[in-house]
Amino acid sequence: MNQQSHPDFPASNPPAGFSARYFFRHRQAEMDELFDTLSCPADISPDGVYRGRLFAISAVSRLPRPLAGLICRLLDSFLNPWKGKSFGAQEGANIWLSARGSLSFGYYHIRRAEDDNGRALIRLNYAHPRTPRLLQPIRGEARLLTDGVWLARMRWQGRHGLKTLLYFTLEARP
Amino acid sequence: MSAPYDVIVIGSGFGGAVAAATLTRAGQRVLLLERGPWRDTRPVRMAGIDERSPLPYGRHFYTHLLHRLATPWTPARGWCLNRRGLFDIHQSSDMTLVCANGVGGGSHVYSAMNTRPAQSHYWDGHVHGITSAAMEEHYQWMLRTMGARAPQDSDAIPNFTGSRYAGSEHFIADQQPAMSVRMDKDAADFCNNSFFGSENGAKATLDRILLLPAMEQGLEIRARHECLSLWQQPQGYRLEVLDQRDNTIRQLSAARVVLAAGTLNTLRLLFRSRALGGLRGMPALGLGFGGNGDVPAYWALNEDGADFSTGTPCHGRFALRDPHSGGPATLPGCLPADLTTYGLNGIARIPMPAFLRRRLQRDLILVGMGADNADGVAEWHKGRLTFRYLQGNNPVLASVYAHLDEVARRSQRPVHFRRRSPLTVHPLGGARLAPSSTQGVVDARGEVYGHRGLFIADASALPAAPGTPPSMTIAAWSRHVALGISQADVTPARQRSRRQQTQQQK
Ligand SMILES: Cc1cc2nc3c(=O)[nH]c(=O)nc-3n(C[C@H](O)[C@H](O)[C@H](O)COP(=O)(O)OP(=O)(O)OC[C@H]3O[C@@H](n4cnc5c(N)ncnc54)[C@H](O)[C@@H]3O)c2cc1C
Repeated sequence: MNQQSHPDFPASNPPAGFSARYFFRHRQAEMDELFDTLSCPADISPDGVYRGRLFAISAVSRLPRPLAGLICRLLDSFLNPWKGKSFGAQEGANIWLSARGSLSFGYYHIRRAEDDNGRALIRLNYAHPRTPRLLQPIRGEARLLTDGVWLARMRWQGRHGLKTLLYFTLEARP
Repeated sequence: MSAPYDVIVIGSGFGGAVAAATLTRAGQRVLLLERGPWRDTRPVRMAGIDERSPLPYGRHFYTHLLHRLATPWTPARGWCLNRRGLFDIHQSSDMTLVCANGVGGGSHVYSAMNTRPAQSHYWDGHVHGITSAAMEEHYQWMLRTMGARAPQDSDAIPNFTGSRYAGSEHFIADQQPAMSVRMDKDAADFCNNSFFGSENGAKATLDRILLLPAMEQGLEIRARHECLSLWQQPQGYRLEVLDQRDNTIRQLSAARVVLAAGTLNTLRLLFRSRALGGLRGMPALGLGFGGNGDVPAYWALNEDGADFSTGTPCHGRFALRDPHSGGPATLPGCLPADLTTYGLNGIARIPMPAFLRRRLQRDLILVGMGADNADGVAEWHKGRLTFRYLQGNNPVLASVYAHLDEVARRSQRPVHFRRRSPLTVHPLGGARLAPSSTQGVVDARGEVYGHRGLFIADASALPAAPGTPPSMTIAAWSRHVALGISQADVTPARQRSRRQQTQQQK
């Protein structure tokens, strides 16, 4: 893991007390608002293996906060085989079963892009030859949350546009 | 992200209200966030604020007394009993803290004693650029604003300590603190005006004195908006805020933020934000915490025919009388202790059996305090805020205990208090003013070291214990911080952009 450092985010490891659990009770609309406020510094890119944690999932996010929080905690346990993502220079993959990244499935292209308002983000495009056709409409978007932590969302490219499915954090492994 | 405000102030107690009013008057666009509701008092009603919450009187006593209760056995953040409740109680193994919730903060529950620190040189020697002489104008401004004055015999206030101990052989009450309570001989002003708030506005609270007038000058107040965390950004700060009205989390941003959520909650916000990665550094966060040497006690006087529940919220100050000189005395080998008495003001409107009420009206609350060393430590572990405070390091507490014991001996009535774990209504420090980031959290301008544009204006920034009730000292500090912010902001570029904005609005 050799994420570069940035003057506003000097360290590349997550803060010692960081816990994505803080977001487990957040609703998807709240995460949308948060995501819109974040930036994507030009000189920092995700690089290497990142631990992933899911929350603000479309249907779940409409449940009462404690219940949604509980479901996210379950998804944060060993029950969930998805462990995170690995990033190379131009492509990456989801990692499964072990956080070391030995089993990869669901590949994507990585590139810097802009949202509708012209604000920078990192886009993960699953239209990749090694990804099954069924999953190719998936688009990922990521922005830097804090030192060594990216906030990302998984979206679905449908006929009527992009729909957000869920949010997740990607934490650099110290 | 557009930032329509120059400054966001978090909290509306003595720190927040003074900062917000001062900045607004200086022409800044200020948003004040307060997690608690507006209180249903006559001045607030008359100002046309529609959404109000009752003070804990009558049946509301059982529902609106407590906001949050945290003990070592509750979940880390404690139990939120009622978001519109008046008090937070935070019990830690070494100390229990009490503070308030609502627009106006501690001014609703406080006893209206408006005092300067016990030592006239309180502000000297902490950092370059702040002296007691320079801070004096802020004390004077605040005392004037609160309309505070010391009660006199001629005010005919029920249970006034000054009159009560005039001929006593054991006690003397010759020096009374200034109080900001109406003293117009109206009996209605001398009851139900203390710990549970003052519905008729007899006690000067900050919503009436500072915030409502500042709103007319452009201050925006969002009640029931709780700041959850702070995130430093390239151009200022992003605040994550829970709008309790629809239970939604919103993002707000501003180039400058004034943190004034009270010691307990300012420390909580700073620790949580640092743990999440929103803020960084602050190696001395948590150091210099103290309880101002508070020792609240119950003086079971059971005085025949007495009704101590009326009068000013605090009946006044007294001391032990020296049997030889007739003047005030400090016990041999002890440090000076400040002693004040209070009736159980407000119990007339709390539902309870009549015999119990009659009994409680005959007893007093006694509070001893003195400048402790403010050498406790606030710590954060897995979302839990705890306070370590060694009584052995703070001999003033033993002195206060000795004075309370002596009061019991002289009055031949029991005085009950907790000797093991102090309870404070004056928590302070933890984000203290100091000359460097290794000793404290804020500099002489109240700005957090390493965090441009983040200021702390409440009791958590105090560099030492005043040893007397601290609200005026907090207000003086906050005014110093706010004037510093507004003066630093008067750059030609800024004035130009202001003019442009005003023209556009026209
Ligand atoms: C029973 C009692 C009697 C007292 N009597 C006296 C007295 O006679 N004289 C005296 O000088 N002092 C007295 N005090 C102490 C005085 O009230 C406090 O020292 C003073 O109020 C502290 O001011 P502050 O600005 O630091 O915090 P506070 O006044 O506590 O204000 C903090 C405000 O911030 C709000 N807040 C907290 N967290 C958040 C958040 N996350 N987001 C938004 N808002 C938030 C709170 O609801 C509160 O309104 C008394 C205190 C008590 C409890």
